[in-house]
Amino acid sequence: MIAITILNFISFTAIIIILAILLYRSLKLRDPSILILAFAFALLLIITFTNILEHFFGAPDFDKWEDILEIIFIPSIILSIHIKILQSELKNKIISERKFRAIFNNSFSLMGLLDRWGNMIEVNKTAQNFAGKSFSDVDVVPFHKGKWWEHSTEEQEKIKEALFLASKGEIVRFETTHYDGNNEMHYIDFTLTPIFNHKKEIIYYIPEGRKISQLKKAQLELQKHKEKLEELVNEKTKELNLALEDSKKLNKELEGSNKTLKSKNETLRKQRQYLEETLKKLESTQEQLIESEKMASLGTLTAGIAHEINNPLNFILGGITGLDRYLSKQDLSQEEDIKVLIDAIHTGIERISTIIKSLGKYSDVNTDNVNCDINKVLDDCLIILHNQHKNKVEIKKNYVEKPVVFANEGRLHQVFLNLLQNAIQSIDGKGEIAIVTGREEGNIITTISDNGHGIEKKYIKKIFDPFFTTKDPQKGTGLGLYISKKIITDYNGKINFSSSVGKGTKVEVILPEAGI
Amino acid sequence: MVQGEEVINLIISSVFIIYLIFLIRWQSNSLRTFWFVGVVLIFCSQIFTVAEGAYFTSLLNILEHLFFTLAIIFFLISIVKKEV
Repeated sequence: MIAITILNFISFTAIIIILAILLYRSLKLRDPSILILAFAFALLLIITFTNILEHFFGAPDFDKWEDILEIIFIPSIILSIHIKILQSELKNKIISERKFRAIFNNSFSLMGLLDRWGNMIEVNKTAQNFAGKSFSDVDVVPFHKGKWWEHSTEEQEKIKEALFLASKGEIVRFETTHYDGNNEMHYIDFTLTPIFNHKKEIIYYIPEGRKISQLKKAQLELQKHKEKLEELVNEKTKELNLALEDSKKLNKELEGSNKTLKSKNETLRKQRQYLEETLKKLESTQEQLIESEKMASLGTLTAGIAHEINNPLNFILGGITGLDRYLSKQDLSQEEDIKVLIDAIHTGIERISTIIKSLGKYSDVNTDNVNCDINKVLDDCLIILHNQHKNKVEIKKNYVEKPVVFANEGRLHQVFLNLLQNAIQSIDGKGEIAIVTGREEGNIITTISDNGHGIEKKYIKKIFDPFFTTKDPQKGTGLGLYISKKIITDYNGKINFSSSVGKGTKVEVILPEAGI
Repeated sequence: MVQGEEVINLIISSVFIIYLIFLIRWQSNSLRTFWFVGVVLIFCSQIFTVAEGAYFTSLLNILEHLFFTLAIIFFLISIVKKEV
């Protein structure tokens, strides 16, 4: 009994403390759940108090009252907890609502909420700020009749169609335009999304718009640039095509001109070649003419001289013959002194006569070809050149018998006179010239070798060039060997040179032998 | 002797306790609180109240009051700890 009394006292004290705390909190927080809880503990306090009265003071039995109070106690506690839970749920819902509002109102997008009949029931702050109106200003009318779309009946029809499609469960998206509070038009990327409940019935629609004016402007600008660029490209393409056509025409013209030019060029080239050949021929002819003129003059001169010398020579010859006859009649011709004188005069006359004959042959270049004895030609030349080689050059001859060629005697004289004169002039001081004639394989080969100063190697190739000479201007024109080679070549012959500086020169003239 | 009011009281308490458990079932932490233990101890105390009429009257009576006192102490701790 004592134990029960002690327990009751402990309980009583604890309940009083609990009650005090709960009442304090209830007043402070104004929380009805705490107040109900305090009420429940007040019931417990009464129960404990009756127990103390019953067990400590022996008061009558309060069991029935205790049972009634205890029946109320548990539901009171449960009610308190229920309220607490509801409060907690409400608090969570408020927090959730705040979060949702924060997201909804601070979204960059223009957002709203339509009921299942398509009436606007919510508009976020972004949309309200954009439109320059508060939600209370927005009419609760079907969405497609709202102020958002009043600027265009076409847009109204579009949103009507979108609502229809969304009511079928589709998410609808299209580009549209809205006017802001400053009546400035904006391009909007619009979406209408249906929201379903757990039974898959549409309960709301979320209209959402994103401002894409900048993007749209950029797109339009880009489109303009693109169109401009395309236009420019087309224009340039046309120009290019025209230019191409022109260039094709020009090309054809150029091809034609090119062909003409090529043809003209070819003609010019041929003409040039012909002119060059003609020039060469002219030069050659000119040289020949000069030489012919020279030779003709020389021939005329020598013929005149010969003729003029021949007359007095005939006088001398007649005179000496008469004198010889006279001396014979006087028996003086056998006189030794006189005989010697007369013989000397005869010898002189004969030599003059020979020289004149030789000169006559040398100048005889315009007559026809005849069989010429090379040996005689060489001897004639030596006679003419006698004055140049006497007392200076020893002539050594080695002739073959009757070396006859078919040619103009005067021109042959010209050749060999040239060669012999060159040989003599190449010898400084005393020297030797060997003249050899021979016969080989139907050709007459005449070799004239001297032991003069020779020709340098670098000049060997040039010696047949016209006007090339290593002699003093008074001694040579540079045409001698050129003419000689030409004459020999005209008779189908050859002329070869070999020379060594300090040792001498060897000239070989090959001419076809005349058929006898 | 078992009293009818006490039995009715126990049955009603049982129903409410079940309802309480159903109410807070989604909060597993609530079952481990001093508050819930206090409620359970009150319920036990009521069981002993019914039982003392049939068996071991004095012993169960002491146990009834002991459980009641313990329940109150648990409630006190719970309130001081601001569990409710």
